[in-house]
Parts: sequence; C-alpha cells; structure tokens
Amino acid sequence: MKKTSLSPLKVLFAALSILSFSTAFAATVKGRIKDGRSNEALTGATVYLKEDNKINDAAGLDGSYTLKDVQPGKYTLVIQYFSYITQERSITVASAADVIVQDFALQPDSLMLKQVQIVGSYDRESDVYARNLEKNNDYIMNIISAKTMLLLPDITVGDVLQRVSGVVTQKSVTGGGKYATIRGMDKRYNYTTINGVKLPSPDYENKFVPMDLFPSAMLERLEVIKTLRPDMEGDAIGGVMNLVLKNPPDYLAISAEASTGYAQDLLNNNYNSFGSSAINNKSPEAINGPTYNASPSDFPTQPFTYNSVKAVPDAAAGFTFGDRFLNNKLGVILSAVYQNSYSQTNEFFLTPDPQPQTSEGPNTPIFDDVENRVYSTQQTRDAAHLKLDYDFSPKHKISFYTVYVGMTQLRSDFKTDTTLGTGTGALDVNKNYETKVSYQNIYNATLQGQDSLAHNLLLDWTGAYSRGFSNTPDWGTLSTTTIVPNSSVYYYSGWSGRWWQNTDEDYTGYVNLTYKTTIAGQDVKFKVGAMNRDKNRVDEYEDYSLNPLTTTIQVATTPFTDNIWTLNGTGTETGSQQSGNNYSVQEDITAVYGMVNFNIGKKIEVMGGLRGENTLLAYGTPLPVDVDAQYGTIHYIDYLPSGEIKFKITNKQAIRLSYFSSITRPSFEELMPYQIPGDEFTAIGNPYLLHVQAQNYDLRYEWFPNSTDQLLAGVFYKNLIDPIEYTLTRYKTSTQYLQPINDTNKAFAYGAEVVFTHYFCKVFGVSGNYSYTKSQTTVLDDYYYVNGTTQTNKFVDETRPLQGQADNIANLSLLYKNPKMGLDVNVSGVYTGKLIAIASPDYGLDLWQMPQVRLDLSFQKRLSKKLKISLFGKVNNILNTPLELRQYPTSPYYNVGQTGFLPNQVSGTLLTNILVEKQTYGQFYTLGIRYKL
Amino acid sequence: MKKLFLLTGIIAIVAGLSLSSCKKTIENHNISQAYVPPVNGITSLTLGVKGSASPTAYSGTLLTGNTYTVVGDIEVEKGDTIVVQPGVTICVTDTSCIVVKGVFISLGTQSNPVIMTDCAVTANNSLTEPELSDPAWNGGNGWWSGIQCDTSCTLLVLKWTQIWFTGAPFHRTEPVNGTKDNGTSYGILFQNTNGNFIMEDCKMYGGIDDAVRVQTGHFDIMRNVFEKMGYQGGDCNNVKSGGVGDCAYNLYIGEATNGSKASNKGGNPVQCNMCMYNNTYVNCGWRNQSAGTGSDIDYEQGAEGAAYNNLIVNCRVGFRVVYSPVADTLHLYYSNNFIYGDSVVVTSQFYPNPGNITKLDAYIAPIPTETGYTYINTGSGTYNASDASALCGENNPQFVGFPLPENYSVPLLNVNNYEAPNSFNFRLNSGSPCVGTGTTSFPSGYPINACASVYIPKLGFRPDESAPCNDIGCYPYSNPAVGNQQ
Repeated sequence: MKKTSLSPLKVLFAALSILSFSTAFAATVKGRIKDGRSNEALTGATVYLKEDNKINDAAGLDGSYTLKDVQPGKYTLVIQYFSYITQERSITVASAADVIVQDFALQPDSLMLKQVQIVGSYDRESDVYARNLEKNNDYIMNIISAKTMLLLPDITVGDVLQRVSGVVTQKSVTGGGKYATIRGMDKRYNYTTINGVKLPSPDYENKFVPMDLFPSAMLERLEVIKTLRPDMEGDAIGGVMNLVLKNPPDYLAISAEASTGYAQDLLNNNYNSFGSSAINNKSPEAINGPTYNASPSDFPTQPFTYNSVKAVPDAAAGFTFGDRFLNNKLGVILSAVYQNSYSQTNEFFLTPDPQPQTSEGPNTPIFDDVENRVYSTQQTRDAAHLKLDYDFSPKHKISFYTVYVGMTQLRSDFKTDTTLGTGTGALDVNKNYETKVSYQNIYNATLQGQDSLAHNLLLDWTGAYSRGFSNTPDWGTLSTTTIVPNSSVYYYSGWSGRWWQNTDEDYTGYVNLTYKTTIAGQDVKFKVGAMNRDKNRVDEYEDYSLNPLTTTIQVATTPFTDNIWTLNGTGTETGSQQSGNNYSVQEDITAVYGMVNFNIGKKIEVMGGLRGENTLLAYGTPLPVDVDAQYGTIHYIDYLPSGEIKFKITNKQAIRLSYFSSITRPSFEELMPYQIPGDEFTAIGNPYLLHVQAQNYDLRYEWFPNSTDQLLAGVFYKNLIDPIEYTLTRYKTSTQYLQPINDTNKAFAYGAEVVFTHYFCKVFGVSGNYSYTKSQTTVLDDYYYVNGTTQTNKFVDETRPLQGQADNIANLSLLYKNPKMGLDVNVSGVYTGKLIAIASPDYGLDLWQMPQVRLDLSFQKRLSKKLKISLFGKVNNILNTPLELRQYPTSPYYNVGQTGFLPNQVSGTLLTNILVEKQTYGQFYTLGIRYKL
Repeated sequence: MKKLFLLTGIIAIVAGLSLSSCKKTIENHNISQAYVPPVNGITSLTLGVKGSASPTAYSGTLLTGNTYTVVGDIEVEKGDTIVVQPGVTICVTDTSCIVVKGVFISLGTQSNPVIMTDCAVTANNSLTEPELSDPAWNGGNGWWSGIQCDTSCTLLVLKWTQIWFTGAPFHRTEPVNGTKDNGTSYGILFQNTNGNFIMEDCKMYGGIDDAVRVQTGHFDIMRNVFEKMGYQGGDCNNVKSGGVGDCAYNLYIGEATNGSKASNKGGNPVQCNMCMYNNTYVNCGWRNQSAGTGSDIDYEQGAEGAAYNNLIVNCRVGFRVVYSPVADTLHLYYSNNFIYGDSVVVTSQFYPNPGNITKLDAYIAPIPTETGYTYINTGSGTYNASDASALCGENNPQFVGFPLPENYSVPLLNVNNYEAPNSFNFRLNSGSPCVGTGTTSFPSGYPINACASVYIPKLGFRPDESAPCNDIGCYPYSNPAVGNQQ
C-alpha cells in the first residue's frame, strides 16, 4: 500500500529533474540577484538580454539565474523585479565556452514605495525575515513565514504547527491538527498569543486554545517560542505559539483566492446531514426561567432526522487588501477568510473499563463496549482581521488591530455499540446517535503605541480586550437498544440534551519602558514593565435527560416524536442549574519585570532579568451552602528569573545558553468543585490543585550560512514541580473519583533538536527537522491483584513518559520552485513517534498512539503573468494515515467467545497488544485560483 | 581574562537565581467549607424547613405513637443519633430526604411497625393498573427521596420498618457524597466500609432506581419484603465493592431488575462478598428487558459469595454469573436453588443467555439430566437450553396462595401485587418439592454475619440473623420461625 502511494512522488521527481536538465552548446551567463539592503534572495526576479528577450530566466529560490545558449557578442543584461529599480548591465561574451558570472543587488524603487523610507522594511512575510528574527532575537524560537505557509499543504495553524521542530499536534475528529505538544509538554503547558497578546480559550473545559480556529492565510508568520524572557508572560513550560498577523504593506497590495475541495471518503460515501436549524440556542431554563419544568416539546426532534446526501464541494475564499494613505502616515490592512468543508471519519473504539480484572494476572484489561462510529462533520471557519497604524511622527506611533476568528461545527455521529461490559457481547447491539452543533470564536481588539520620550528612552504600551466564546446548544444523544439477544428489533432507550456555554473576557494592559545607554564602552539596554489582566470566565451548563414512556416502544414502528418521551423522574426537569459545572471565575494577574541586555566585547551578548507574577483567583458556584468548596479564592506569587548568554562564534554562527523559570496554571474547570457521575467513576474537580512550576535549560548551536539557509541544533532540559495528572481517588467512599492532582514526584523532560533549511540547484529547497525527547513522571496508579484468595487493589507508583510526548519527531519538506515556469511544488512529510495519547489511571494500561507518517502535497502554477493569476492545489493525507491507539497490558486479554470477543485484533487468544482505537480520515483534495497584485 | 571573569560571574548569578526559584511558591487556597447546620432537639411534630436549600439537623428520639411530618430535608450530623420508636409514622412531603451522617436507628415491632411514607399516597393493588398510572412509581417521578447515608454514617438500623414510595429525584445538589446533581435517588444508600447496615423484617414498596444500594460496608438484610421496586431499572439490593454481608429470607416480588446483585465494581480494596440464601424471587426483571441485565440473583465483576436455597419463580432470566467482566468464579459457591417457569420465554433463560457462565448445578430443579437440558459449550463457557419447552410448568413449587401457572389475562409483569385484595401467599404446601431439598452445609465462612459485633445496650438491640435451613425459599415449611414473618 505504502509503496504504491509513494510512487507518484518518484514520478514527480523524475519529471522535475527532466525539466531542469538541458544541455548547453553556447556561453552561459549566471549569477545571483538579491535585495540590496537585506541580502535576501529575490526569488522570481526576471533576467533577460535586451537584445534577445527570448533568452531569459527568473531567479530561483537561492536568487540564482542562468542564461544559456548565449552566442558570442555584446549584450545588455536587464534585471527587473516588482517594486525594485530595474538595473541594466553591459556584458561581452567572447567565446561559446565562456561562463560569465554577474551578481546583482537591487535597490527598492523609492518612487514606487511612495517615498516611504522604512528602515529594514524588507518583506516581513519572507523566509529571510524569519531567519533574521531567529538569528537576532535573544530567545529561542522557530518561525514559519507566510511565504512558506503559502506553499505548505496546510490551511489552518493547527496543521502548520506539525511542521515546527519538536511539535506534535493532536488531531481533531476530522483529522486536522488542533492542539500542540511542544517539546514533550502537553497542550496545557503552552499558550497562544496574537501579536504577543495572550488569547483566552473558547474551550469549555480548558485554558488552551484550539489552533484549528485560525486560517494560516491570515498570518505574516507563526512563531513557536521555546524560551521565555522576563517581558513575556511566564505560564509556558513547553512554549508559546505567537501568531503574527499580516501588517500593513509599504505599497498597495491586493490578493484574493478561491478554492474548492472534496474528501475522498465523501466521494465514496454519503454525508449524513441533520436538521440543525431547529436547535434552540438557549436551554429551556434560559428561555423560561429557573423554575420552569421542561417538557419533551422543548426538545426538537429534527436534529435526529438525518439526510444521507452527497456532500456539496468544499468552498474557501480569502481576500487581503493593504495600502498606505495620508502621506504614508496611515497604514491599513484588511483581510478576510472563509472556509467551509465536509469530512467523514470512521472510528473503531473499545471502551476500556477503568476497573481491570485479575483473571489472567494483575490488571487484566477489560472493555465495556465495542463501538464503530461514523462521524460526518461540516466545519465553517470565518475570520477577519483589520490593522491600522498611524505615525504621528517618527517618535510617536500608534496602531490598532482587531481580529475575529470563528468556527461552526455541525457533526453527526452514528454509533453501533456492542455491549461487552454486561457480558452480552455480539448479541447485544445498541444503535446510538449523537448530534453536536458548536460555535467557537475568539475576538480581540488591541491598541498599541510607541513613544520616544527621549532619544534613548522608549515607551510602548498596549491595551487589549479579548473574548473567547463557545456555545454547544442541545448537544444531543439518542440511544436505541435491542431487548432480545441477536434481535434486529430496536427500542428507544434514552435521549439527552445538553447546553454548554462559556465566555472568557480579558482586559489586559501592558506598559514597557526601554532605556539604552553606554556603560564602559558597551551598549546596555534596560527594560522594565508591568502588565495586568482582569479575566472573567462564566460557564453555564444545563443537562436534561428524557426517558421513553415505556421500554417497549419500537423504533421501526413508532416515529421519533416528542410524545413518546418524558422527563419525569430524571430529576432534570429544571436542568442542572445547581451543578458545579456552572461557575464564574475572576482571575487577576499582575506582573512586573526588569531586564537588561548588554554585550561583553563583540562576541558575547547577555540578557537577563526577573519577572514577578501575582495570581489572584476567585470563583463562585451555585452549589448549596452545605457542600464543600461552594466558593473560594486562590492566591500566589511567582518570581521567575530568566536569562540568555549568546556567544557569537562568527557572524553566522552562535551558541546560546538559556535558562528560564516558568509556571503552568490549572484550567479553571479543574479547580471547580464540579461532579459528573458516570457508570464507572465520578469525574470531579480539585479546588486545592496547585500550579505547576518548572526550571528550563537550553543550549543551542545555530548557523545561518546565508540569508535563507539555516542549521540549528540544540538540547534542552526541563524539571517540573507539581505536575498535574488525573488519578482515581477514593478518599471519601468506595465511589471512585477521577480527579486532577499534583504529583508529589517531580517530572522531567529532556531532548535534542536539529533544524535545517537548504536551497540548492536553484529550484530545489529542502527543509526538515528532527527531535528526540525523553520525559518521565511518576504517578499513582490503581493496581488490581489477588492477595491470597481475595481480589483487592492498591495504588502503586507507575513511571512513564508524560502524556503526549513522542520520542522521535521528524519533518521533511521538499520544495521545487521554478520561477520561470511559475511552478511551485511542495511535498511535506511528518513522522511522529510513539506516544501516550491517553494516560490510564490503572497501572500499565495507558493507550499508546502508534508511530505515524503523514504525507501532504501542494502545488501552485502561474496561469497568467499579466493577470497575476495562478492555480493551486493540495492533496492532504496522501497515505490515508490512520490514528491508532494500542494498549500493552502485562497480563493478557483472553480473546475468545462471543461475549467478550474483541474484533480487529491480532490472531491468537492471549492478547498483550490490543488495538483500542482506530480513526481513518481519508484523503482531502483542494483546487483553487489565486490572485496577487 | 576580565571577560571570562564577567562571564563566570553572570553564570553564577543565573545559577543562583535558578536555584533560588527551585523553592516552591507557596499557594494560598481559601476554599469555603460546607455549612454545618445547628442541631435541633426533636420538639415538634414538624421536621425540616419547607423549601430550604440546606437540610435541618436533628438529634434525639421520635416518640412512639407520634406522626411526624418532614417538610424539608433533615439530617443527622456526624456524632449525633436519631432513634425512632415503635409505632412512629413519618410522613415525608415535598420529595424530601433523610440524610444520615451520624447514626439512625428505627426500631419498630411486628405489631407496631415504624412507617415512613408520603402520606398523601395510597397503594393501588389492582392487577390491571398500567405502569404509567400506578402510584408505586408515580409515572417515574417517585414521591420522596429516601434515607441517604454519608460516608461518615457508622450505623443504620431498620427493624420492622416500612418504607413506601421512595425514588424521587433530589431537589438539591449532592445531599451526600457520591449522589448525583439532581438525579434519581436510591431508596436507601449506605456507604461506609467500616460501618454497619442492618435491615431486618422490613417492607419496602415502590421506588424508581435501586431500593437498597450498599456502595460499601457491612450489611445484614434479613426477612424483608421488597415489592415493586425500580421503575424501568434499578436493582433491589445492589451491593458494590467493599460490601460484605448476608441477604436471606427476603421476598422479592415484581422488581424491575435483580432482587439481589453483587458486583465488585467501585475500586474499594475490600472485595465484594455477598451470601444470598433462602430468598424467594417472584415475577422479577420484567420492567428492565435489556439483554445485559439479570432478574433475580446476579454475581458480576469480581464479586465473590455463596448462594443457596433460593426459590426463583417466573423471573425473566435465571441465576446469573457474568462472564465479562468476570465474577470471582474461583470463590463463588452455589447449588440447591429452585427455579420455575410458566412459559418457554422464561424457561429458555434459566441459564441466561448470553454472557453468563452459571453452572448447571446452580439448581436442584430442573435437574439437567431429567429435563432435557444439555450442556452446550458455545466457546465462551455459556450454557444454552436445548429444549426449554419441556420445562414449562414443570416443578411447581406449590405455593399456599399463588396460582401457578399464573393468570395470563394480565401481562406477567403486572402481577406484582400480593397485598389484598389479591392476598397472595408464598408459603409452601407440605408436598412442595422445595421442602427438605435445601442445604445447610455452606462453605466455610458463610453465612458471613458481618454485623455480628453490633450491640446497642441502651436499646437492647442486636442483629438477628436467621441461619440457613433445609427448605428452599423465604418461608421454610419445616421451620417457619427462622423464615420471613410477614
């Protein structure tokens, strides 16, 4: 399977090598074309002979060009590139054997730039700019530029992140990247910023931000920052994902694109749509008041009326406009993106029972259900971004930006559920249906200013309002069951509806003061600042369940209507207003810092400082007064030192040694006294949960041989105090509670990373990275065994890697870029090693995600140079890489018989390698048109 | 050299800072504690506060002959005791519950029982009353929300106490640990591994979910009558991990699912161990027809125990030992049980199929070799009936006042009412095949007598467990004195 699907790649390379191969019987003129200020290769600049413009070329990835078949004679070389001054140079070709080298450094066309003189204003969306930032900053980061993203097969930031060194993405049910694990540190240990301003999460349980909300087309660049500076917020142990939005350009820029696409699985199968429009955005309680007794008629049945249809093709469009006005004092950029896509996911899942047996030895695994699911998902993203900047004078600048990203997801889920847990096996099959409509969005508005108070004193300030919102109205499940074994007669057995809404609102202010001076002949920079954020989170939760009037209402003969259901006796007639899932939190974070940058001689750059963060949190719930933890406050102050020493070996090579101290705060939900009882255990929060503290050490070697190439190699070590893990506790009763706790044992992670980018042969580029990570934590896990003649259990220490940490991660991206043909082709592959996807609270029963190789391809072909239109296409998930989770129990599962038999397993009766989950997504195809002025 | 000196200096400072920050930040968590209501003496016939969001605490004695009205949740605090004297009637209104964090002792007598009920409701014993309108379930709503013992409750005694019409949803969140926000209540919840729960000679009638849930703890459930418990689900006596004790001489009639069930689910290090003997199960399991549920005796996930001398009549499925997750079959002992079925629907499920591994010697009747049962190993150790029709109406246990086969002019699952006017009587005739066919030779350690150490000198109370006898069922013909007295 893999072999055949790799072959198109081989064909492609064969074709490309033929294209770039030609023989020369006359003289050759070659050289490199670069930006006169930045030394950036000017890929795409055209070169021709004035005397014979059929002899022409376009500069390649490394800026190189070659003119072949030049007969001896005198010529004028013409070099042209948009927004640069055209250059001409006379050359003489003496003989056919000549190889003449002519390099050019083009100067920007100041007229075209409307006389704007912006220092260092080379293309901020380029790789060169990215490499420069990576090289010159005093913290460690990896950057993916807009130009690179344009050529990547990815459409969301969630997908782009997997290309970054040391990052593993956790996929959503559609197969797209959603969350990032950075350097083995799970999603909770990382935060997301837009232009450096931290974003609230629209997730109803967590603090981390779903990265698939952001279309990558909005970004100027994506930064993954791996070491913190005192002037950055201190709650990242893995890293910070900073999304830098497009900035107003120096000249009129307009681009637009439109595309369509289809999922392979939907070519083969129909899509299940449902009556989502009937869903009430508000719960019966929210509509009618807290004393209202809901009745079945409050719950529309249309969401469970399915239509099996052919999905309409995906549609996506994007538009960007940017220019400068008012004598270039006012810069404007406006961009909007819309994406609508359909997908289908097939899933096989065994539900592990959290209480193992002892039948084949300690902790023999046991499963409750075999589920086969088909998810049909429609995702609609809309995003818009506006940025204005205004220069009052060179000393005073102000900018305003506002951004909105939103995603609407309509998902239906057909589950065929074979019960194992009550021992009925293949004979007891339930059919369950789930419909979920979710709205998630983030809004941010930021006002920033820069004022030079004196020639060496700079003030910059930021005021930001951000809002994260999520609403999941009438998230419904409908269950039907058989009564007689082996029967195909189904009866209604349950219906539920859940409204879950949360709003996070942040008001944040930052003030920084930078003072530059010279001490003992060395430049010294002092920076102090303060920051305050008031955060309010309100979480509203209503849960209703309905029972059929009797247990013998047949699905086949009775239509699904409200009048066969009742809420009587469920206790949910008025919803769940008193639940601890309804809560509000006020979090006030105040931080101050001071830092200094100075050089020691010409070779050593030093940065260091201290940040103090004061965290004050207060929460309230509608729980009754005779329950513990109805309300509470939490307060702590962290002092977080950080520093970096950079030793410049040469102008192009350096070694960095960094240290930073950082924290991770628990999610609000985890701190709440919520209780969600389940069949197997009750999930509860922990108001006494502590924040995680960490010490982080980094050593990196970097080499930037030219403006686009790089080689980075580094090692890191992290030491975590009070890491948060979920453990079963039963300190109150024999009821099992699954609860987040702080491990008393320390956890650590260390690893090594290599990143490289290299352009060669004019048209080829290769970039890649490899990282090795090892982490370890020790947690208390439940262990069931036979003691003498009685079955019993105890908590034992289990040492394992941190959840989400892959041992090996590798990326390889091959780029073919022929500016003359206007053809770009990118093939990207990601290898993700084995990792713990779900840590089990039982000893030895963690679920491991199998190593994956994902391959994606994209291309762009210029259609008309004159109309500036090109065609682009993407094929994602070429290998149809599945997600596979496996369990490796020490005591085997005895896989025989009809009542406990697990399908899709290796042969043999004693299993020590169990396939627990498998998701397949199929390939995705996209084709579109792009216009760029 | 100077630079080197400077550099080492900086490294030292950074190292110092990093070491100093290794000291853990102190976190200050100021979290509210549960409000403990002040304890009241029992001075009024009205208990609780109507509509109150929190319970009212009491300590003392409910005096004989009085009728008390509970208008809001009441609570026995940790360290306190409520004693209920014979003949007391407790009328519970407004779906309230009784929360026990200390000790609750209800001591009725045979002639003067304690009655706890919603006084506004009367039972309807018509055999033709539809489920939806039968007050036993109030259309699935229940009437009041039962006796809820917290993890701190050390002792719950119910003697000659009648508990009617439980199962209403809680009207507030989490009255005790382990209960759901709102949600259906159990009739009685007990959950202290080291505590004792004694229920002797009681009657329970009507409820929605489990009638008695022993989440963990020592128990003694003797000579009770459980009638029409569970609406569309719920087990009558449902014992989880940490639960250890005996349940014997009980009459289970018309329960939704199982009469008595043991499962080691719940993760308590003390293994669930339940001895069930001399119980009678009639017409159980018909209101929960899911394929994966039992109807009378059920041993599940990791539970050990012993079951002898039980009589099962017209229950949906027979004695059930679950295969996956497997009961502790190495330490599960059973035989000398007696089973009867009117129709092939019942007789074909004497060995419930699928998913159970009940051994053929569970029953003395039918005797496998005589009745056409053959042993079929389906690969997972289950047993199938090959000729169930031959068993229909065979081995009539010959009740004194209950016609077998039953009257099919009304559905079997409605024949639950043995009260007047039906006046059923499940005692045995002298010629019953259940007389003399039981056993008293239990494996060592059974019966368990888990509550034997309980003694309350002030009240002169000791648990009174009945020993096994040689007749089958809860009304032994040969020795009626040890049997069910109701």
